[in-house]
Amino acid sequence: MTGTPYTAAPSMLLVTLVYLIAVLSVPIQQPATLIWLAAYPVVASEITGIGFGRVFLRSLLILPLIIFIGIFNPFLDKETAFFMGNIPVSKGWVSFISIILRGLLSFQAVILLVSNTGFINLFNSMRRIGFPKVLTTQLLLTYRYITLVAEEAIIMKRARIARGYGRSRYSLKDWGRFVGLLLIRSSNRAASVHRAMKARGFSGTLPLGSPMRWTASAWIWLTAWIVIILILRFIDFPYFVSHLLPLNI
Amino acid sequence: MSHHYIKFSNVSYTYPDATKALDDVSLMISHGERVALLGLNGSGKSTLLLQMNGLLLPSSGEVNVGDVPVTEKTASIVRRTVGMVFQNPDDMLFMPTVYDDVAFGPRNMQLPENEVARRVENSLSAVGLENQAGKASFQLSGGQRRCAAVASVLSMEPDILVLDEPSANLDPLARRNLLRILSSFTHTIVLATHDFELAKKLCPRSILLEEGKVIADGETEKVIEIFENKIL
Ligand SMILES: Nc1ncnc2c1ncn2[C@@H]1O[C@H](COP(=O)(O)OP(=O)(O)OP(=O)(O)O)[C@@H](O)[C@H]1O
Ligand SMILES: [Mg+2]
Repeated sequence: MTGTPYTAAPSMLLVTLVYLIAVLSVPIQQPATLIWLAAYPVVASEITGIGFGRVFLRSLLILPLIIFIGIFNPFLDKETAFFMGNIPVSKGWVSFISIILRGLLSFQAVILLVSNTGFINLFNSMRRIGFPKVLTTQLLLTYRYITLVAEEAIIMKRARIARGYGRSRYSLKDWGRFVGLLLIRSSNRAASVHRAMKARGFSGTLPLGSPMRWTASAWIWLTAWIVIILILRFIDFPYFVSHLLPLNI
Repeated sequence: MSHHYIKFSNVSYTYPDATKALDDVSLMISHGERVALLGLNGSGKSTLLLQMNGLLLPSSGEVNVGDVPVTEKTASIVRRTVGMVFQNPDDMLFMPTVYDDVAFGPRNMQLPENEVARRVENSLSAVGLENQAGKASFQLSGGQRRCAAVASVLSMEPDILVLDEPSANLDPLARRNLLRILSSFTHTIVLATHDFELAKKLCPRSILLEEGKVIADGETEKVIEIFENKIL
C-alpha cells in the first residue's frame, strides 16, 4: 500500500469525481479555465508526496489517444476564434487544445487517485459511497484477473529466459504459442482463485473491507478541494483580474 | 459435535478431459480424527480433498459431511463446517491487506464487525502474524503467506480442517510452528502431504492413494512402510 492512509480513500474519490465533472464541463472554446484547473493535480500530487513530475510523465501515456481524438478539429472548424498578434487562430485549434488539456488533466486526476489509494481501497470506497455492488465486484475481479495474467506472464518469461540460453528472437508461431499458453494458464489460475474464494463462502459480492472512519483530515481535504475546484471552474479569472481589481494593466 | 464425520461412499471422479482421478473411494473419518493422505504426484489427493467441501462433486457415489450429503445445494452450508487450505497460498490471498484476507471468510458469513475483528486477531496471533496485519500479502515471504492462508481459514472456526500440502516451502522453524498450530486444533484434520515426518507427528491414521484408489488405510507408521516398499 502506498501513500495516504486507508481512511483517505473515500474523500479522494469524491474530490476526483467533482474534479472530473468540473473539467469535462468546461466549454470547449474556453481552454483558459482548464489551465486554472490544473492547480488540483499539481498541488495535490505535491501535498501527497507523489510529485507532479511523476504524475505528469505517466499522464503522457494517454497523449496519443487524445491527439487522435482531437486531431481532426483544426481541419474541420476553420472559423477564426481570435488573433494572436496578427496570426488568426481557428476555433478548431482552440478545441484541439481544449481536448488535449481535458484528457491530460482528467487522466492526471485518476493517476493521483489510484496511486494514493490503491485499486482495492478504491473499490471499497466506491461501495461505501453507493456505487452498485455488481459494478464494483466486477471491477475488482477484472483488476484481480489482470494482475493474475501479469503474474503468469512474468513466470513464463522467467522460464523462457532461464532455458533460452540468450536466445531472444522467437518466430511469430512461437509467440502465438506463448500467448495461447498464457491464456490457458491464466484461466486455470483464475479457476483456482475462484475456488479458493468459494471455499470461504464467496457468493458473488465481495464483503466490504475494514470499516473506514472519516478523519478530520479527510473532511478538510474534501471540503477544501471542492471549494477550490468550484472557484477555479466558475470564476472567470482574466475578467476578475482586469475588471474587479483596481489595477490598470 | 460427533456428527461432524466425513463419509465417502463409492466415490469416483472424472475430470472433464476424461482423466479418472478417483476410482470407487470409500472411507469414513470420525470427528476429532487426524488423518494424513499419502500418495505419489497425481494419485488423486487434491481431487479427494476438493470433494470434501463440494468444490468438486462426485461423478458417481456420495460424500456426506455429518448428516448432510454434499451437493450443489448444500455446498455453501458444508463450507462453513469444512475449512480448506489450498496447495498454493497465493490462490487464497487477494485482498488489499493480510487483515482483509483473514476477514474475508467471516465477513462472507455476515458476522458483525467486532466478532470479525476478534477472530482475525486470534487467528493471526495463532500463526504468529499479528504484526503483519496491515501488510499486503505480496509483501510476505512464501512461508508467511502459507501461514496467512492458514489463518484465513482458522478465522472461520471450522469444525473440520482440510489442508493440501501445508508444510511445503516452510523452513524448519515455520514447519514446527505449523505443527504446533495444528496440534492445538481440537477438531478433525485431514491433510494431504509428502512430509512423512509431519504425518507421523500429527496423524495417528493415514490413507494411501494410488491412481485414484485407496490401497492402504490404517496406522500411519504401517501405511508409510507399505508406501516405501511400493516405491522401492
Ligand atoms: N483440472 C484438471 N483437469 C484434468 N485433470 C486433472 C485436473 N487436475 C488434476 N488432474 C489429474 O487428476 C489426477 C489426480 O490429480 P491430483 O491433483 O488430485 O493429484 P495429487 O495427488 O494432488 O498430486 P500432487 O501430489 O502432485 O499434488 C492426475 O492424473 C491429474 O493429472
Ligand atoms: Mg495435489
